[in-house]
This record gives sequence, structure tokens and C-alpha cells, in this order.
Amino acid sequence: MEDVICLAIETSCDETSMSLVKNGTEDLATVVFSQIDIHKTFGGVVPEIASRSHIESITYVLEELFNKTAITLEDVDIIGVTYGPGLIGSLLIGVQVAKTISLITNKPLIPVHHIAGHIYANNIENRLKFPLIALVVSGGHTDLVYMDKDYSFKKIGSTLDDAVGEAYDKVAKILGLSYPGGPKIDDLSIKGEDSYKLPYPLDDDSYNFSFSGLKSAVLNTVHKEHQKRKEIKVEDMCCSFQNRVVEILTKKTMKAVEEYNVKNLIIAGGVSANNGLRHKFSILCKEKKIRLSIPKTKYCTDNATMIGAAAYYAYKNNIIADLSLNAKATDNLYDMEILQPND
Amino acid sequence: MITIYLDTSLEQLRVYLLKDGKILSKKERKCKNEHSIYTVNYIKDVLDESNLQPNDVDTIMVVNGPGSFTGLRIGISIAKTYGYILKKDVILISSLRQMAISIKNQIAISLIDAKNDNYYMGIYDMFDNEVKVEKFAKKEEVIEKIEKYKDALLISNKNFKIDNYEVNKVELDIEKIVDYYKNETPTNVHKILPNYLKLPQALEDKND
Repeated sequence: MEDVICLAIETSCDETSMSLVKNGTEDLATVVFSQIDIHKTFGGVVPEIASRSHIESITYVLEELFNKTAITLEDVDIIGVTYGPGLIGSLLIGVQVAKTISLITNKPLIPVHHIAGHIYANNIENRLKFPLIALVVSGGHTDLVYMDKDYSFKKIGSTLDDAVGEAYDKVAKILGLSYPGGPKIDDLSIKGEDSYKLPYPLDDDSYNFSFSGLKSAVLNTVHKEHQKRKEIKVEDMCCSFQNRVVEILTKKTMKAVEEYNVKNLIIAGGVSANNGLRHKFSILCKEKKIRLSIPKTKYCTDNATMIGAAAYYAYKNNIIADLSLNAKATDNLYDMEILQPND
Repeated sequence: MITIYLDTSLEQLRVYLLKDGKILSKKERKCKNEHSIYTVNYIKDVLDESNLQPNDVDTIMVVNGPGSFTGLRIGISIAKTYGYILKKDVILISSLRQMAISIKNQIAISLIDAKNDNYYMGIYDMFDNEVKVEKFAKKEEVIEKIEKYKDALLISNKNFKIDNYEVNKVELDIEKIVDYYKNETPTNVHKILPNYLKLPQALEDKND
């Protein structure tokens, strides 16, 4: 079969990224321009500033990408782009760039859902093995997904309120940790003890999650300690919070692995960079002889390599857009809302 | 000499293809938020209608503001990418000035409604080819300028009143605009940005 090289573009939030990916698995060259330092001073991503930054950097990123490799635009076979979900003003820029390149080169334009990208980050260097369960954990998503073949996504559960990454950011804010707070909680939790009595969030038989109650419990505890004029032990709070999150994520995910009778588990999304989560999953999967896949840290956060990986399989499944492709702030990835174990 | 003219700055999306300053083909429509859907398509349509390829274009002229932030970024990201990849010249056009170019009057005050009694305002002396002002202004300042430049024609992209002053809609004369800008020095594509004339709200709040 002939090689397919994808030029992939990702601008859904605060990273301007482009990549050249071969056959959905090989990262030929990737550039990620992160705006994190710009947004830090605001304590979070400011959409208008993100959009302005993307438009400043797009052609520089494109130039740097092709400077990294002998591959030229003529060698590219398909153009992959994140069309959603994400910040609309940011997405729009990547979509226009991709459409313009598709018009100029007359090469197929492949629309990629951001979460499909995160899932396919696990396909870089190692092919996915099916059937599998995917746990998607990011700032906007907490989903359990069943896949029995490429580019078929069936949701089996998801968060009912906050996404796990969102809960991390909110708790970090409560504890006075600077943005981005997720990695800081992860780091501090190692130094602390699980000394605060926080509830297990939505500890039931479903595959759904809920993190807003846990976040409120952190807030209440902080208030109570303040009223007693006691200092909050930040490390301990990080440890207690992270333990509850990791506990519930691993518990429900491993239950899904068992009930859906799969031997492959993948973790996807920005929160898959969390060391506590990676560690717990690797112990459990070893015990149960489950093949576990977590992307390398550089592929966990937003990047265009994962979009190029997903675009290849989208293309193989005839998912091709025309030049009217638009960006979408929200969009459903799943073929089926909820898949039951015996469906 | 083939030129593409792109205007995504306001509601009326305009994509024109010109040869030696004369219109070959054009596509226009009123868009609320659909500039993203139509602009690249329209470029393809105008090229197809004239049996031209993307590489046959010599210059891209793009309106870079002021106007809708998102709208501007759509036109600019297309122009930057097109210009960068095919190594074409990109020339930037002011949304306010192109209205002044399209009329005959010597002095023009161009206004674009920026909501909440704010306006993007340009004041031009077309006879001396002088830009007196191009800025984001509050209503009071606009009125002050209207009273100062009594001979000025008040123009905009739509008809409205500002206090008792009538502001008249201008029909853009694309051939005239393209002719006016044809000797402008092209901008390095990496450096091309929208001319927002206004900071993001988050930065303004911070500066307060």
C-alpha cells in the first residue's frame, strides 16, 4: 500500500501546532508553539488573546515545520485539521489555513475531532489493538469509550458536570496554585499525605463521573480550616484530592475493561500526563494482564501529531470535507450515545 | 496582473478577482457568522469562473481592519497562508479608508459601528492623500470631529444616525480601491496581522 503523508494542523486552544505524520503512526516532524506564558498572567486561557496569538504564529510554524525535514508540500497527500471542539476563534484559524492549503494543493481535506486526535495519540509508534476501552481525560472531557475497530467510537460513560482537568484547574485555583494547576497538584501530591477526608465522587455502578462535588468538598474544607484559623496543608490537600480522582477513574475504567471483555486499555487527553494516574493504571493493568497504552508526555497535551494520526484513519474511512468546512465549538464524536455491555 | 480582493471584515463578504484592475469575477454575500464557510469556497469559485489556477494570482489584497475580530482573522489567515505558500504579494487594505476611496468627496469621515456608542473612525483628505485619524473612538469624540470637519462626508457600511448627523452607506468601488492600493509595498507575510484598533477586553481590564 502506498504511504500517506498528512500535514496536520491543531489550533483548538492555546497551542499552535503543525505536524507531518506518515501512515497514521510515524511522526516525521512536529512543531508546537505554546502560548502558556501569555495566558499565565491571566490565570487561564483568554480566548481573544489565544486567537490573536494563533494568527501571529501560523506561517512561522508552517515554515519551521518544513525546515525540519526534507519533505515538501508536494510530498503531502492529505491535509488534516482539528475542526472542533474547542475555542471557536482559535479553531477558525486552523480551519482557514487547512482549507487554503487544500485549495492551493488540491489535496483532500480531513476534518478531525479533537478527542479522536487524543485517542490516536496512542497510535503514534504503536498500533492500537482492538477491541479496546479508552479513558479520555482532559480539560473539557472525561469519557469512557469502546472501540472495536479504527475510527469507530462508542461512548459508554462520561462526566455529568466538570471534566477532570477542569476540576484540577479549579482546585488549584482554590489552593492558590498558579496556572496551569493540574501538573502542580500532581507534583505536590507526592510530597503530601492523604489526610483530608474528601468524598469519593459518584462511586456507583455507572460509567459516569462527577467532579463538582469533590471540588466543592475541597472548597468547604479550605473555608472551615480558615475559620478555625488553621493553615491548609496544601501538599496533603493535593494528595487527598488526587487520590480520590485517581481512585474513581481507575475503578470505573477497570470495571469497563472487565465487563466489555477487552484486553487493551488506552488513556488519552491532557490529564493522561498525570503521574499519579499513569502509575496506578500501570500497576492495575500489570495485575490483570491488560495491555495499557498511554501516550508519551509530549503527545498527551495538545499537538498536531495526534491529529495527523487520526486523520489517516478518518481518510481511510472516507471522512473527507469540502471547502465549506467550518469550525465547531462543540461536536459529538460518538456513533452511539451510550453503549451497554451486551449491545 | 491578477489580483484577488478579499473583504471579511464586516457582514458583507466580498471575494473579487481582477485582471489589470478590471473585475473578472466576483462573489458576495451577507454573512452573520458564516465567513468561515464561504470565503475559501468563493476564492475557488472566482478562479474557476475565469479558468485560472491559484498560482496564476499575482497579488492578494485583503482588508485587515478594523472590523469584526473574528472576521478579520478569517481573511488574514487565508491571505497569509496563500501568500506564504505560493510566494505571492499580500497588500493590506483599511476597511475605513476603502470607503473614502469609493466616494468623490475630498474630506471623508468613515465610521464603523463598534457597539455601545463606540466607533472605528477614519478621517481622510483624499485630495492630499492624507490620513488624519484612524482610531477607535467614543461617540462624543466622533461628534467633535464631525463638527470640526464641516465639509466632510459622513460614510459607513450602513445608513444610520449619530445624534442628528446622517451617516450614509457607501457602495464600495472595488476597481477604484484596487487601483488605489496597487503600488503599495507588499507586507512580509509573517508580519501580517489584523488592524484591530482595539485591545482584547482582558488586557483593557488589566490596564485599568
